Amino acid sequence: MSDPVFPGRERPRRLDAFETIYQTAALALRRSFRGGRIVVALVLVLLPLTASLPVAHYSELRQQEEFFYSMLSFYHFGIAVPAVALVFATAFPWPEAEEGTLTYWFTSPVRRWAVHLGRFVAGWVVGAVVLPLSVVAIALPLDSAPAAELQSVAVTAVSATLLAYPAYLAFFWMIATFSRRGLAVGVFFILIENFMSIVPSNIVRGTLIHYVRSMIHPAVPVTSRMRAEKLLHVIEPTATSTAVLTFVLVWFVALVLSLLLVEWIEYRGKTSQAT
Amino acid sequence: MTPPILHVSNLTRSFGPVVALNEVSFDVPGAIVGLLGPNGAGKSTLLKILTGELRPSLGTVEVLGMTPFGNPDLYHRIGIAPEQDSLFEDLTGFQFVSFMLRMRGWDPPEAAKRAGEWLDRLGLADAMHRKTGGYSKGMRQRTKLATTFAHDPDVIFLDEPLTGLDPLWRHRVQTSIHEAAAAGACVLFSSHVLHEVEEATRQVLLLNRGRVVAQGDAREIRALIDTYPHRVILETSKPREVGVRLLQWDVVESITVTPTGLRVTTPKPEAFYSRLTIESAEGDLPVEGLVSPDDSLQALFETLVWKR
Repeated sequence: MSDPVFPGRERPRRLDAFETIYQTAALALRRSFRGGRIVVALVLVLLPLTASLPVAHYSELRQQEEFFYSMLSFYHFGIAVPAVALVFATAFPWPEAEEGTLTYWFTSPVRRWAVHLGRFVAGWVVGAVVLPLSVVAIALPLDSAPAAELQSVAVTAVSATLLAYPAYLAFFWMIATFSRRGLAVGVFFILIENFMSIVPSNIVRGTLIHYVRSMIHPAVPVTSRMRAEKLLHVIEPTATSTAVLTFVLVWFVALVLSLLLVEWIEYRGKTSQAT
Repeated sequence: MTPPILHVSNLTRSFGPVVALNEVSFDVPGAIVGLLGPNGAGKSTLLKILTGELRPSLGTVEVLGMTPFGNPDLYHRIGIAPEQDSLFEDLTGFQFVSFMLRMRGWDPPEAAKRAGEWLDRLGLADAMHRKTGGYSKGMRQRTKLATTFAHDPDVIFLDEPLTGLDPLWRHRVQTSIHEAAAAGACVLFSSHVLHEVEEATRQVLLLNRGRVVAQGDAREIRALIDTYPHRVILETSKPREVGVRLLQWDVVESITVTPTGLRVTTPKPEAFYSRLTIESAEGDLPVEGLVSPDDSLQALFETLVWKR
C-alpha cells in the first residue's frame, strides 16, 4: 500500500518470505553448478580416488580396510566436509559486495534475511549432493570383500555427512556474514579443529569431528572395532543422539545469528570506502 | 504543503578517518535533478545512502518519507542503477532483468513481457538471450537501466548512467529519463560531466569533497564552466577519418590522436556534444564511446570552493 503522503503507482504486492527464499535459492542453485566453486568442491570430493585406486590395486584386504577408516576420519570428515562447506559459505555476501552485484539483492523489496536464507539453502543442497561422492570415491575402488563389510559404515558416513555438513555450512556462513575475511578465518578454523581432534584429551569434544566419528563408531563391525577405534581416533564416543543434537544446535544457532547479522551489517566493497 | 520526495539534513558519512560526506543538506521536491561533481566528490556515497545500501554516520535521510536502510517498502518504489557495471555474468540479459522483476513481485509472464519490452527499447533485442558475461560496457549499462526502469519506479537513482554509452545511446537514455519524469517519477542522477546533466535538467546539485558547493540552475554553472577549455576523449576505430571530419567543425579547437581514439578540445562543449549526437545518429561518424576528463570541471569546483 502506498504512503498517502506520497501516493505511488499501482504495483504488485511484495514477495513473501517463502517466495523470496524459493526464488533466491532456485537462482543461486542454478548458478552454483556453473561457477568455480563447484569445480573446487568436486576436486575436493574426488581427490581420494587418486589414493584409493592404487591402494585397491596394490594392498592387502586388511590394509584397504585401514585405508578406508583413515581416509574417512582424517580426509573426508577432517578436510572435505568442512572445506566444501567453507567454499559455499564464503560465496555471499562479501564477494558480491566487492563485485557490485549485492546491490541487486539488497535493494530488492524483500527482507535481507530471506535472501540470505535462500542462498544458504542453495549451498546446503549443492553440498549435500556433492559430498557423498567423497565417501564413494574412498570406498568404491576397494576390493569387494572389505567394501561389502564396510558398506554399513559407508552408509552411516553418508548420513553423518548430511548431518554435519549443514552445521559446518551454518557456522562458516555466520563467519562469512560478518567478516570479509571469512575464507581465511575458515581455513584457520579447519586447521585448528583438525589439530584439536588428534590431541588425546577431552579437548576433542570441542570439535565437530569428534561427533561425526562417534556416529561412525557403532556402525563398525565388531571384529574390526578395536582397530577402527584407533584409526578413526575415537576417544570415548558420544551417543548418536547427542551427536545429532550437537549438529542441529550448531546449525540452528549459527544460522539464526547470521540471519540477524545480515539485517544489520553494512556491506560495501573496498573500493567504495574511499569515495 | 507536500513534503519533499528526498530530504537530506546534516548528512555526514565517514569511512574511518575519511569524511566522504560532510554536513550535506538539501531537499528535492520532484522531477529531474542532476548530482554533479568530480570523481571522488561523494556522489556514489550519497546515492548509496539514499538507496539504503549505507547508513549515515550523522544526520537524517528520507526518501518518500521513509528511512532508506534495509527498508523493503521503500525499495518497492525505487529504481536503482548502480555505478558498477557488474551483472550476473552467467545469466542472459533477459534472465537477469526478468529475475529482478520477479523479485519485485511481478508474476513470471508479466516479468518476461516487461523485460523483453525494455531490453528491446534499449537496443538489446538481438543480444538479450546471450549471457551478460559477453556484453560490452555499453550493453551492460543498458541492461542495468532496463532493470531500473522496467518496474515503473516512483523515484529513480542513476549513478553515472551514461558512462560507456555511445552518443546515440546517451541521447536515447536521456529520452527515457525524461519520459520517466513525465510519467511522474523523481529522478536523481549523478555525473561528473556538466553537459550530460544539462541535457536532462536545469536543476543541479553540485558536490565537491563531500560538501554541497551549489544548488540551482545549470545555466549559471554553464556560464562559469565555459571560461575553461573542455576536453573530450573519443573512442573510435577510425581516428584519422573522424579527426579529419572534426577539424572542419568550428567548435573544435584542437585534436590529438591517442592509441584508442582522439582527444578533442572544444571551447563550446554544448554545441560540440549536440553536433556529435546528431552526426552519430545519422551514422556518419564512427564513434564508439566518449569520456570527458573532469579537469575543467575540477577547475570550476575549485573556483566555486574558493568563492565560498
